Amino acid sequence: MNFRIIRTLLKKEITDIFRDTKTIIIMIVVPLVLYPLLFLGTMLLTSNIIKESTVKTYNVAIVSSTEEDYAFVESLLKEALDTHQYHFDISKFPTDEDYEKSLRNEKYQGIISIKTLEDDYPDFEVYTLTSSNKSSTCKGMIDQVLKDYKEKIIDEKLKDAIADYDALTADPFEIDHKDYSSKEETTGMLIGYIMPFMMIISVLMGAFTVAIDVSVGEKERGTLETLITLPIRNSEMMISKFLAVSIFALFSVTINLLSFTLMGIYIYNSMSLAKTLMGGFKFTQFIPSIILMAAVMILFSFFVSALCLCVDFTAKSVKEANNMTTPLMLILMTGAGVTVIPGVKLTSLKALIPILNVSLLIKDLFMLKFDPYMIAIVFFSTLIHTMIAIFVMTKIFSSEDILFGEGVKGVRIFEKRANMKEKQIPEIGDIIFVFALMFLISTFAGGYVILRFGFAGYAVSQLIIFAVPVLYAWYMKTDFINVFSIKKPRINELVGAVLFFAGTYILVTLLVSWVSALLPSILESNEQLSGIVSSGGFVASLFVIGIMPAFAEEAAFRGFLYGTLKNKKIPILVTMIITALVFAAYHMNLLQFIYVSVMGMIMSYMIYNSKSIFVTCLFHLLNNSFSVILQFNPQIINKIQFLGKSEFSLSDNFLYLGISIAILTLAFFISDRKVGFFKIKKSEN
Amino acid sequence: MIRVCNISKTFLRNIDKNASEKKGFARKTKEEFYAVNNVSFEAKNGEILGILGPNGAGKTTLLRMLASLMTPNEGSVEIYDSNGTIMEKAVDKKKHIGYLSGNTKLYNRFSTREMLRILADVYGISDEDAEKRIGFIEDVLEMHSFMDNRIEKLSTGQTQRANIARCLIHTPDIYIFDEPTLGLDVISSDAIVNFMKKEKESGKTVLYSTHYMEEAQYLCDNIFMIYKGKQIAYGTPEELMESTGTANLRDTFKKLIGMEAGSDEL
Repeated sequence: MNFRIIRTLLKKEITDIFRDTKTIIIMIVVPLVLYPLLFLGTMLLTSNIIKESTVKTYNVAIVSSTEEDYAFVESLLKEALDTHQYHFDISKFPTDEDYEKSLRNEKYQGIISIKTLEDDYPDFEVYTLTSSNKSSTCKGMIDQVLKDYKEKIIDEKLKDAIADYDALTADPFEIDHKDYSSKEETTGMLIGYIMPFMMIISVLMGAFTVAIDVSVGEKERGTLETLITLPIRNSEMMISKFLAVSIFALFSVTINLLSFTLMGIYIYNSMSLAKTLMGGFKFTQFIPSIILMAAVMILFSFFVSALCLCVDFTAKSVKEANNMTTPLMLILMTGAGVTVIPGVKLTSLKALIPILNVSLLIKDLFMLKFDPYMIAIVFFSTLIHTMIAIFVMTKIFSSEDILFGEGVKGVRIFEKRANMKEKQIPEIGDIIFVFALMFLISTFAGGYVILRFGFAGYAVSQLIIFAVPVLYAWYMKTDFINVFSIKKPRINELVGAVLFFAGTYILVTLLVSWVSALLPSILESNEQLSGIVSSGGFVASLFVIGIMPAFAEEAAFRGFLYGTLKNKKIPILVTMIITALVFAAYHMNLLQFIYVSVMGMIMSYMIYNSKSIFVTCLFHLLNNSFSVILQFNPQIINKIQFLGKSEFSLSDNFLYLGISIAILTLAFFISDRKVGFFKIKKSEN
Repeated sequence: MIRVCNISKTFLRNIDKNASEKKGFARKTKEEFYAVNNVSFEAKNGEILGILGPNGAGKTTLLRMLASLMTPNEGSVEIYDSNGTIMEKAVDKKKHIGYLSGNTKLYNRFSTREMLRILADVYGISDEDAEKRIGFIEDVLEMHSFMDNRIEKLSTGQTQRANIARCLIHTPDIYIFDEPTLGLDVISSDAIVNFMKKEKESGKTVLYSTHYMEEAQYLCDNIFMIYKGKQIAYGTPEELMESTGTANLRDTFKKLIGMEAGSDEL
């Protein structure tokens, strides 16, 4: 890597882009001019609308048989000018006209017909046209006037009937409001709603056009071939392009932030309303928020830039790149928009989800919530996402493929199915793509479905986990038998799976007791899950929790993931460990991560040994179903002492650990193909 | 000097399965084909090698491989510097090659001078040397009038001269020019032909492809003819004319291609 070359190329990219007037207009003029104009325009418009609705006069006609009644209703309506600032233009309804017609042609917004009854208060008929905005407002106003009149009558009646009316209706107690939220917090809440969206959009505005320009744009203009006649390495070219995109993303963020600040200062200085709202307001309070936001935006810009380049390097033309980046843009904007939904808070789980974590963190920062734990998780996970994106980008980027368009080898989904070779093995890029897709769908869509439909949603998310890898594998014409390890299992391996389940179950129970003794807080987060589990009834739970994951999760992890990795030049032990860890991480829960890693390792061994996915399916099925059965039949727990325990004495610990190891060893010797009781001779294998 | 040993390059080509049967949707599949098929030759210092062939014969792919823009599927391209040392890495090879083709477009938003400075920087030429070199190139190619104009404002001939200037900045030992005189007027193309001659006389290796047979006959020491990715003739213009019994290279070309095309039909 030669830094002089990177620097020169970077300088070239930046100069080139700055000389493109189109880009500059999008990046500088739009935020500096259009935003304030839009904002001020909206403000003027809303204040006008408010003014208009109060000042507007409504034409109301009165239908009455006597002059007296007319005068009475007129006085009622005129009173409303003082009490409610209602402006009515009152007139007599002409006898020769039709009610509906006169409402429809907007001569009147309301018609009041009065009927005098002997010895009683009059009755009213109110005619309006609520499909018209103005008439609808008028109806509300007339209703208010008549309601006031009604209350006045009742008041008078009560006063006549009850002697100590005034004493009875006096306020029995007083309420004194005291609000602890500071002015900074109130303002911060407002900024916190707008800022994440603005930041993410500004990164997009910077990165999108530039990423297309430096990748397919260069290719289309024919300068990419010139560029690669130079003695530069692929990595140098890629880094300079990546840095150029990131710099422009950050530049765009800075410009937007500047525009926002200037606008804020202008509003603060010019509007009396803002001053009364934020009098004695200290901007300095937000300095840590801004610094932290800037830091996270730098990382995030890298992330988005790498993401955009990943897409754009695979496109064949600028038009195609635009088409391909649009879905990406929508995902990013959805993530940014989520902050506006009330009740969506930054949790340790959401802190792991790309885009969402950054927008929620920015919101929290401006609400002056500084949780070091959350900040650390968001930074760390964004760093990981960025590294993954950059890694994928380096895999995709190869100048020869980009230039002479042999298509991308990393991710096959972008090729037409008809062009796929038969019996393919997926690439690492495919795995990342499939798992990113699964993750996105199951967190964004699945999460929503679970919240909305509870138990049924859980089934849907399992279907997604099954469908994504299997459909992807079908699309790229994967060698299903090889990758998904489809093979008839041997009897001894199935017996082994049952024993493995028993041994693992005891081991996991012990593990949970040890972990919860060390970290008691860890158990709390685990309680939530059982709520969903038990809400569906026994048979449904058994199906959705016990049986579905046994196939869905096996297809994804022991199938697509393990099956692909085992075909690569990776030591098999590493493949087994990766599969176990990814499977554990997928559960997104620290306690589960610990014991599922152990379980995952045993499952990795089982698939490695038997080369049949049905063995691990059986194991998974037994394990999940047993939990469901216990949940619904607590009497079993009472019968078997071990199951009910969450703490063990030292001797029990040794006893059960011994039993567990014994069962696992037995299972191993029953199953293993090389050294077991039913080992297969080399000639047969 | 450049030596090419048995290089081949294959591509995937889209073909329409149902087109011949004219039924159903167009089912596109990909088929592998040889753009360059087992080709060998060499060009010494002080030699101009002409690469001739009809459109789509594989000339551009061949020249791209020579310039290390593409890697061959089989075989190797050996590049030697003026001292006769072999270059191992693509990056080092590129330092000794000046490559020009219709596909190497220039950055429109830069002036020629700015572009040359950036390139000098990439090649690692010191600022002082770069200034000297740029001044020299400006004189040789007579570019004084438009050195500081943005490239988007230049005429076709001026752009082509700027493109040649791009190939000269690092004083390469080998020039690879893909149809450098295409679409130029007589004066501009003569300037380029003279330039190649001068460079040859100073001991540089020049490889170039063209469709102008008279130009090739007059200029080239050796001719390499390619058709459908394969070598169909290799030798001096005189040898080729003699072997086919023709009076000029234009007829030689026609006869050779005609023979190949004829043999295909058999």
